Amino acid sequence: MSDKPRPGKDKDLRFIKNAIEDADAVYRIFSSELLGEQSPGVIEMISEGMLLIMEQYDELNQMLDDDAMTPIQVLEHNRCLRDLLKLMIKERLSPVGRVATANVIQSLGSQLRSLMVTKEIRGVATTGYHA
Amino acid sequence: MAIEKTTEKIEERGNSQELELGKDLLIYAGLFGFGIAYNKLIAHMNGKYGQHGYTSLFVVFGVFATMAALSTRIGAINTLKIAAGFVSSGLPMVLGDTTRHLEYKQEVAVALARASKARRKGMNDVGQTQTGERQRFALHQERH
Repeated sequence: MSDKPRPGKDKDLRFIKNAIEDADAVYRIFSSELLGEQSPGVIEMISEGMLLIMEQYDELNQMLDDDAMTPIQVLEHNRCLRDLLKLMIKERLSPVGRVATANVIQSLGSQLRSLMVTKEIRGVATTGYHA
Repeated sequence: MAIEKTTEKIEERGNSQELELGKDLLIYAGLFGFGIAYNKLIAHMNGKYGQHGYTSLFVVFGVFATMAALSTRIGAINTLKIAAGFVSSGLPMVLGDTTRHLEYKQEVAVALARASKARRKGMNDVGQTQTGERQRFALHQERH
């Protein structure tokens, strides 16, 4: 009998749940600590980021039920969020905003790690952006 | 007699120099006040608008205000000479800053468009997800 982790089993589900927790953390930071930022450009990025996180959250929850679903789209959202954050750190954020952004980046990195494990378990190869 | 006249002239010159120094100090005090108010304005703009892209233009306005105030003391010709120097050294910076800001704005627009596209793609793929399957099943049930 093979010890290889299978989709919908312990390890797979654990890492999906980790990714959901990270999405939760990012959403919480976006909706509380970063929402105080006044700059119109930053507000636009935060709004788009929150929408992306909501999509991620939805898809990750579906992945818990559906073994056949792959994390490709969630990874794409993670990539887009990272792009937004790369630009956000160039903005003139308040000291609280800067710390919150660093926390978001940390959560996204942790989520990416979980998604990579899930991707490997579910056996998909992803390269670059999926337009 | 001659000594008295010389003394008067020296006193007059001294008074005139004091007057000139007084005018200079008045201008410096005015510029200091302007600097404080301008600093508050810039802090407000940065806080409210973040990356507004007008930093170099704010610097230009600050230099312009300083030179305008000093022109009353150093004369129009000297002011123009100094202004020409500032234009020479500042123009590349203004153009560079504006270009960099436009590039940054373009990057933001591209990132936002990509994020929006990724979200729409997720929504379009709903037919392949479990929710989509459920929706299709519900529709099938309704029809039959």
